[in-house]
Amino acid sequence: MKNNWKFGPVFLSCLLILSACLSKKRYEGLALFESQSYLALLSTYRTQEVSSGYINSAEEINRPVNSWQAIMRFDLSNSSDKSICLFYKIPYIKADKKMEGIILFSKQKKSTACKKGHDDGEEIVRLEGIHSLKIFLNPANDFMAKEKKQIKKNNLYFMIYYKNIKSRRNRVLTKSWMEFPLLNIKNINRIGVTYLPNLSLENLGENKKTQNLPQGERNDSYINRTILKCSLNSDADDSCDKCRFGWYDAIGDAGRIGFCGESHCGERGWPACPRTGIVPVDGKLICVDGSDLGICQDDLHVYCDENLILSCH
Amino acid sequence: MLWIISLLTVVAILVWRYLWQQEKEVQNVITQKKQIEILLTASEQLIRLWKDGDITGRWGRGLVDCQKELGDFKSSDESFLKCNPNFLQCYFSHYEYFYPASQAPISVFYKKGHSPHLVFAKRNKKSGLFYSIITRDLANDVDTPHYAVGVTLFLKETKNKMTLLLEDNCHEILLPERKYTMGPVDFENSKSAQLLWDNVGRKIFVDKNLVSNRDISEWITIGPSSFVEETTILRSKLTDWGDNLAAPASGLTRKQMAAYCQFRGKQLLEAHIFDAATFLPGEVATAKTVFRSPSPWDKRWSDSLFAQADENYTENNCPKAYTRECLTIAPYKNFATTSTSWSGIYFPVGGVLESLRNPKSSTQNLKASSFYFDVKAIWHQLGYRAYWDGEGFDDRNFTWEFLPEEFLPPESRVETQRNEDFQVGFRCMRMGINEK
Repeated sequence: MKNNWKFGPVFLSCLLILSACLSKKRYEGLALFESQSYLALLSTYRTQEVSSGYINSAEEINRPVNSWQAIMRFDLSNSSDKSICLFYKIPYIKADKKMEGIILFSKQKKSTACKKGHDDGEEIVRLEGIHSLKIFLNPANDFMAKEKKQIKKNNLYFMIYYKNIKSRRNRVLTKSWMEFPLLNIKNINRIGVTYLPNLSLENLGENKKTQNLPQGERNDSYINRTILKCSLNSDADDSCDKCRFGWYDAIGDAGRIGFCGESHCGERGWPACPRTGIVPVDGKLICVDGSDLGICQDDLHVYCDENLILSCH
Repeated sequence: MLWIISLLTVVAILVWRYLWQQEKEVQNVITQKKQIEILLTASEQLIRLWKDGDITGRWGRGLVDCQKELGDFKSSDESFLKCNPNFLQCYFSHYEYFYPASQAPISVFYKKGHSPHLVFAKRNKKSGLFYSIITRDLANDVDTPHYAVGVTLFLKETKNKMTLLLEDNCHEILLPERKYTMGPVDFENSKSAQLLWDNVGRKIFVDKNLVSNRDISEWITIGPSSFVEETTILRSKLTDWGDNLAAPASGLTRKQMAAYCQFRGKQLLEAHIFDAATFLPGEVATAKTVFRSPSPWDKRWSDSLFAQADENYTENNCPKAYTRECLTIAPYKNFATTSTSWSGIYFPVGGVLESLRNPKSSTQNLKASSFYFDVKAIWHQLGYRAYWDGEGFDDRNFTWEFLPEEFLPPESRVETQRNEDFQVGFRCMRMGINEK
């Protein structure tokens, strides 16, 4: 018994070291989460709301309680086959019962569109102990008067209430703003810069497991029927944005349509140049011979060809 | 008892080691984030250099010798330096001349009062260049822009790096969505609805400037495999650019012009879009009326500097309309921004001839307004075009007689028996998709 007392101080010091390390760890969990999320989301070029009503809401995300919700999807410039998904386990905090929330980022196959649940894919980082969360991305007002916060364009913001966190100085943090720049978000006013963190020019594309090949070839020709149709929808798989050497538009029976390659519109055998961008689609016949929706050279006529495209002959 | 003490000590050491390693990993991630933030701050400076060019004006004043990269500074406007990889090369090769006090091309002060972090652009050992041209075709990847200039920045302390792909959108305008018209003012059917069109819902981007010798020299140097036929022919023909890197590229056939535009993901500019970008619109704001103005700046020809010019056409007129008179009184300034249409494209009149693809009338495919004609020539009226066969550059390849005889008084005809080739420039356009 006497001997045991001799080792009491050893036990105590071990316990002290352990408790000090663990309390510090919790504070660092926040910093680690912020840094890892920051690095993971940096090269995002497109976001998509998976569940509506959670982003840019003045209210914190609070329903349905104690359930996992897929919030957002992030497509990255340096990964063509995987997306990052943001999940949130909504907390249930009452005086007698506390089930804290969890924010979780995981990497999932792009094709699943974050709809397979939080436990699918590869977890990147999680933050537990959340009491409330608000998420902002390009809200209507750049200045959130209620929150007294200036919001930058294309930056994702988290406002987190994360109670009982002991910092190194033993302070209690109650509210934390996190800011994640999404550098490659595309929009019409974009500045035309793609950021590729941690990559040098020599190893561009090395970390892409599958490549999306551009569409069309140089010698594609409407006359030779080697032309590739493309969609004017930027999100479509066959979007004209994906043509190898540019594209041009024409008018077909279903409205405007695109073709990859060099334009010869107005010339014999080629599509007519569109006279208008507003093509009637409400049951009115568009592709008819002599239509005034297309422009052809002076000695040619507009007609509806076998592909149901306004062409010139 | 001793073994219990030993066991506890080992456990304590293992726990401590585990926590220490975790702490190290945490610190690594936090440090990595900080370094990315430094690189991002540096990238803002790089983007400013890319977009604004030489904001210090040192090159324009001849204080930095970048003749090899940029040619003669006296014959070019400083807008030539915007979105120009040759300027980045000049800057990173001679940064000490741009900012003599700084220690590195880009110094980032992460915290006030602390010494700067030094960020450098990486130089390719083989080419000696601080940048690389990246194209969608060469990368064979749909996520790569059609044409971009890639620069890798690295932090001197840790070699942590970030690559930026910089696209050239300094030199194009987005044609406002509205009704337009095409063709010259005095055509017989000038009021015909056949000449009206609109681009509502269509994003059409038009190059502000003519394609330059620098652009073509870069294309030839890269020699992309998809364009090997065109670039090989041009390489054997055009090699010595001298000081004229900023000058409009001429000496290309129409096929080669179209190929160059394709290389940049674009099309050769179409005549009716040139008209839309140059005819002064009736009301810019409301877009209610459509107007075919004879001059880029006047609704009536009689008000224009062409109609009012007398025999004393002075050098003051030349920056706006560089006509034949200017050849002897004022230097031609490449990339000048003084001759601007309402939409923002440069040199809507004067300067070199300009090749267009005309989807309405294939025999009117050349903007004839140029320094080959006196200020009084009818060719300076917008919409009047001549014909070029797209192959050669002497008299036989051009036809100027599409206008009735009364429109072709002597000053509207070119001198015959010319010794020099005609200079034919070109510019490109592209369609943009409506982002959701």
